[in-house]
Amino acid sequence: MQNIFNFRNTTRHDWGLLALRLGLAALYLWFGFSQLFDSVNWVSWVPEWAVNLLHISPAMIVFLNGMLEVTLGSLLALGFFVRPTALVLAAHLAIITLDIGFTAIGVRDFALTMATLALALIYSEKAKGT
Amino acid sequence: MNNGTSNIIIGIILIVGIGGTVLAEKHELLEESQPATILPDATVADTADSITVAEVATHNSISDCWAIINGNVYDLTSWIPNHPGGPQAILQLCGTDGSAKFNDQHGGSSKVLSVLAGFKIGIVAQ
Repeated sequence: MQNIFNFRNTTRHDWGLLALRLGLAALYLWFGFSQLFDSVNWVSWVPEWAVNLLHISPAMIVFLNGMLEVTLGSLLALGFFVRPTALVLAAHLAIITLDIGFTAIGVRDFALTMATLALALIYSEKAKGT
Repeated sequence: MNNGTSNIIIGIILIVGIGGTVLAEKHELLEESQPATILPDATVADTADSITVAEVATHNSISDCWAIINGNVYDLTSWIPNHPGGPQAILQLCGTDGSAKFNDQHGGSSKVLSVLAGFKIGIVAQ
């Protein structure tokens, strides 16, 4: 496994993967913690179909979503189960993006979905050290 | 230092750092909340245009969104796509008196009030 502190043997590909993984981890952690600590401000984002589907309050959906994003974001940050974690997060964000639609926020989330999917696709055992 | 250890150290720093920052930001917003600052804004706008409730009610769409908040009238059309809490939160206020919803959501946060002040177009006609 490649040690990222071994600078001489760390390739640009390794640094790129590290930047992508930590950047996306920061993103999911930030929004996850925001939902946990400030649920009220996120309730308006909960779509009606989600409430009808899950039969729980919008505030609870925000809380559970925050828990999910913090947990999966932590796995990305720690470098555990990166590929499956990124795949789940990409699917999760894709649903949010579809729900938001073609707006500035929707396009931004689409790009983040693609970045998360890219991490799931290109992360490999060989690059586990990143 | 082996690879697993370095990953865990970086990961923990990231998790604690971001969690702490978000928490600190929330505390900062709470400290800035001053409920008493909500109402005076409506009373100092004596020279502003008076707009009737009926007039506000006609501006009730995504392309033309006015709302009454604490006695003032705001044109929130341009704010709809930029609202951090999502466009739906603003859309539900279009053409209505959104004071209760606004105050429940934001209290007297001075940051929020300063943003809101930029959209003021008048006061509610008595």
